[in-house]
Amino acid sequence: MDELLHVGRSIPRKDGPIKATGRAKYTVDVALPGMLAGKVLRSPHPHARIVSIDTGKAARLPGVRAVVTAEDSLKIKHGFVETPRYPADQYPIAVDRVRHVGEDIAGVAAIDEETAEEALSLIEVEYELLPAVFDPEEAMRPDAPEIHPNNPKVDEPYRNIGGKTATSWGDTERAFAESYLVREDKFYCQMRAHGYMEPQATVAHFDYSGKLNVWTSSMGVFLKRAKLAKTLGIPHSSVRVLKTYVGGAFGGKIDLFHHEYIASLLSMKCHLPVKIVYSREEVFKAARPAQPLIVRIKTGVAKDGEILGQEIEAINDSGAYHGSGVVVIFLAWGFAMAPYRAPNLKYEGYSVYTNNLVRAPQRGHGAPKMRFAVESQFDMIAEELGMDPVEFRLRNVRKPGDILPNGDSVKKFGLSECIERVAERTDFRNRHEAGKRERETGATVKRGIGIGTTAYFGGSLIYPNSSSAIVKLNDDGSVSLLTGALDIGQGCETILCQIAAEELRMPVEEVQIYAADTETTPVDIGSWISGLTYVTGNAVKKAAGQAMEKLLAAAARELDADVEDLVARDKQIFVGHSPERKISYARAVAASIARDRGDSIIGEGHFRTMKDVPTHPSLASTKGRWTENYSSYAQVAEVEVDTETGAVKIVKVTTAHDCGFPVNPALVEGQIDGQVSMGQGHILSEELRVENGCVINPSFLEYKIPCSLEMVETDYIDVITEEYKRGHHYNTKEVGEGYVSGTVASVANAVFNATGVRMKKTPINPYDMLAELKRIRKEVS
Amino acid sequence: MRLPHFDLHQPSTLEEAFSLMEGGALALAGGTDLIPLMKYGLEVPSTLVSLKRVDCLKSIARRDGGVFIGAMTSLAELASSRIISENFAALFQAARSVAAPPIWNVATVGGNICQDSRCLYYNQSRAWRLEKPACLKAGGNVCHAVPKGKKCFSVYSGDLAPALAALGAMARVEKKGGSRSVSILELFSSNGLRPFTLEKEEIVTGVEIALPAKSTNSSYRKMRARPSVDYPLVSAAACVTRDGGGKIEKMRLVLGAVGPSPALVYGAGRLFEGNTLEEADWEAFSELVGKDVRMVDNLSYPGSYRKEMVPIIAARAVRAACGPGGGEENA
Ligand SMILES: Cc1cc2nc3c(=O)[nH]c(=O)nc-3n(C[C@H](O)[C@H](O)[C@H](O)COP(=O)(O)OP(=O)(O)OC[C@H]3O[C@@H](n4cnc5c(N)ncnc54)[C@H](O)[C@@H]3O)c2cc1C
Ligand code: SF4
Repeated sequence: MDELLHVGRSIPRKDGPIKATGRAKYTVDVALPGMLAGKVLRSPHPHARIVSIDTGKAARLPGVRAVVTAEDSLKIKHGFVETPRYPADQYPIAVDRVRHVGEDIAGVAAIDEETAEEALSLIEVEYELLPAVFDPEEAMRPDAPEIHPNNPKVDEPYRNIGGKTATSWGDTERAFAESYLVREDKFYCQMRAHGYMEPQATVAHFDYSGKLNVWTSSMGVFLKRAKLAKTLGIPHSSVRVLKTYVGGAFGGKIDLFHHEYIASLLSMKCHLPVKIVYSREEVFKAARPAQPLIVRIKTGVAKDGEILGQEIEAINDSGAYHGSGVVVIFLAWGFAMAPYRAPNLKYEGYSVYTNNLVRAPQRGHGAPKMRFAVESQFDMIAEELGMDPVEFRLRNVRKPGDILPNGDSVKKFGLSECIERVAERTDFRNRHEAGKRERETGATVKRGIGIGTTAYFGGSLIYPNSSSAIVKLNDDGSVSLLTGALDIGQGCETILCQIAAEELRMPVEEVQIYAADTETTPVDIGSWISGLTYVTGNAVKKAAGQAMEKLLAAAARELDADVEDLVARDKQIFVGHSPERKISYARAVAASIARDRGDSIIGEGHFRTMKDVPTHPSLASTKGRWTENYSSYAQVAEVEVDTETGAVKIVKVTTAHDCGFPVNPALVEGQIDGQVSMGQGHILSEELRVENGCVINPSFLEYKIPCSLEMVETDYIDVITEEYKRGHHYNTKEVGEGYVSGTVASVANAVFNATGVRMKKTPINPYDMLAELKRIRKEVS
Repeated sequence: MRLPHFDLHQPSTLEEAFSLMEGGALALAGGTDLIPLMKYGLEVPSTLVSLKRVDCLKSIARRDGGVFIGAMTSLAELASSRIISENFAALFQAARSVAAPPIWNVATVGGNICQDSRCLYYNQSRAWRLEKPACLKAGGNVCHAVPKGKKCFSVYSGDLAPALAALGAMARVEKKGGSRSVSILELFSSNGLRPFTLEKEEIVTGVEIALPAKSTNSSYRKMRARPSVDYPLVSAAACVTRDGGGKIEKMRLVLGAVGPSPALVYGAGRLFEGNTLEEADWEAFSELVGKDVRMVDNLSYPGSYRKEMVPIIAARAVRAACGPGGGEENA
């Protein structure tokens, strides 16, 4: 009974047909009788006091049904993080002050979009402009304009430092003194958008029973419910967030978005459904972009390449509110220390308020930026030591069983095997030497190869920390699976059905999934922090396992056999040694109901990562366990650099990865390809260009995300370190975020390999690249 | 973003179209340039005259020792035409470098030539523009790309016009009771505010290109951020005639995306005449090409960089024109 039927196989996606045929309902498709169109009035200024708002004319415009401003709200603040150190700092509608261009000031609901838009133009707002600051390092100066005068200060006298993470171990001063070589470098990463295809969209309907029903494009329904209930001042039981299909999120749809609050408030005011859909321009200009990061690293190594000490400072421009800024400076520490040993380390991370847009996490949440910095410096050090980059990494990589300074074990960590195998597959050592020789040739197009690596966490303890699942057997023996998980396109519904079908030894097609409805499905961790397949997957495994136990018990009684002797296959249960004694699932269900006081067969399962750890690690000090499973990757990029134009082309990316156990290999490959393309955008072309707080390229034409012809060839090497065994808790590791980092870092290193130019700022634009090429040419001559 | 209200006429003959144009209407071809401008509130015509049903404008035909391309010929047709690929490599490559294949199906030759010039600070929604004072091109009196600028440096970003100009094509321009034939470059005013010399009621009905001599070849090279879709940041079309020994007899070089109109490089031919590619003075070429164009920071790459790229892209176009069949498609 132990061979796997479904898990570990590339079965087609459950939602494939409905999406491919256009029948999947996204939020924009939700249509309710009497539904109104909502629009949001946004600040044109980066920093201003709101002197007055007059909505009179807008409210009187025929066709307008409701107008809301802060005066209609309870003025309850919220935050991505809400702790005593980092209290909520953001109103869902601006109260008295705006702190970034695009901040939400008022909402209008009208019979159609044109009327709503016209109404917005009739709202009169008087502003008193305040001095603004956009550069995080400038904002850190004691004399910078203060953005949150009343917030608690985490680092006096710096008034705009909104968050600080500081930790250290060992003695870095001594380590540097003992080092053969010490390097200090500073790296910059740009502000990026997420590039999800589906814009932000919400339908809110406050019905006459007093229930607020919300359909919204998100990454998890329970978090949205909690935040809406809190800011609206109503109980969780009065808010229902329902499933819709989601057209991508990549981190950009977590947390409360203010149009969700405004649509709800408008609907509560007029008792009609209100739909708000962002224009693409609003997505770029007013939704939350990803976190930019500045990283300064000082590293000391022994002559043989052993890392002796590291000092790292990370500066995050969090925008006008905390957003996820206070988290990214914690995570950046983790991504710095997890993959490689550093016996002495000092880390400081600062999250700084500016008058820029508020940020959201983005796939990798700090990892691509931190790994870009660390891995770039690795190669600079290796070059100075005359060492091969692969050897340098193998010298320092963490080994299976290593215990991290926070108490986490990396368990069966596969990074060294990933590095070895990707190097072998790509003939890295020879080609890296060839790349160095390329620098000397007169060729216009130079080829190079580079490596980048990562380790990534798999689920951590943030709201709601856990997942529960229910598996019900129907009268015909088919199965209904209830889960709070929301499929955002990554395929989690498919995977959860695979797991349920595996435990119940039945066809995947016979598992129906009902997901992501706060009213009818059990609580779930959500499609973020890379824990879904692990946390929700194990909850489903337990629920299905429990249902199977009950089913087998009913069958054993009917067949007059021992449970241990039973074998299940194709919705039939047999006695192993006399297969003619058998019973169908349908009859076993009926027997259970008939004999046991009407007990139908239902299994429930609950799972929490790090079940013995009370709470999340400290964002201030990094103390406390972070995660249970560390994935790892090594990626090699091959590039071509046109030395006349500075244009960089990625030819191929090869990935060796340890994701624990791939439940559905095709979905894992999809994740890798998607992340290679996202890494490509990060390292080569994507950047939100901002002038005085205003995004000047708010369209897919001017925001240069890679498209079909830019896709690069990919190759994969599986390093499988875990097993899936029926009846046992299993370990999958993260697969949805980490590969961006290796791609970014490997391309930067490959560019260096080919040209000798070390780019310390992303994206590597052709114009910056050309300027550097010219600079080093001048230096040589 | 919604379209503003307008009246739409869909004549089926040219005569009807000419009459309808008299009343201050705008011509509508594929709409891939015009409709986005209307959504942004940058064009607010009260009347559009669609040329879609005027069948006589949709053809590629040999005529009097040349080829006539009707204005309503789709880019998809141009990009798959053998007459074009065999005779006018530069035009063929230019067509294939426009936007992305789905757009080729609706975009037309006439619309491509007559598209408005572009600027990062101008091609934005009304809501976006309202946050700043209106710029010169939008009827105001500032320029956001050049502080204190008094002239508009919006960039003509059509791909076909430079290629057509290098090939010496003539445009047929018609209106009620009048028809004229002008060189492609004569269509342009060099004024970013209104890049064309066309009168309001005039329609471009097509372009004519003389068939090239056997020893003539052409090529188009385009720098863009993403080969999948983007507008040119700099482009160059070269048409080169060589003798049996590979010596250049004649060369016409036209630059695209360098300013409000395509720019003919005067003197480029003379510089290379009588030389093979190897003998040519490439240093002088680099100095000459693009020396007069002014490029500012109003596209996705900085003006200074784009200017630096002019001779490089131009050289690639010339070399490619001297290779077999205009060289490989755009790098
Ligand atoms: C995403 C995207 C990318 C693009 N990339 C490129 C690119 O790389 N290169 C490029 O060249 N273009 C590009 N374009 C612009 C445009 O798609 C093309 O230029 C296209 O060929 C325009 O043709 P059309 O028929 O759609 O013109 P329309 O939009 O119908 O017309 C454009 C203008 O020309 C006028 N007009 C049309 N026909 C005539 C005529 N016969 N006589 C007189 N005036 C006329 C119209 O009044 C209008 O002002 C892009 C557009 C988009 C949306
Ligand atoms: S160059 Fe200046 S005037 Fe011309 S469109 Fe751009 S901002 Fe406006």
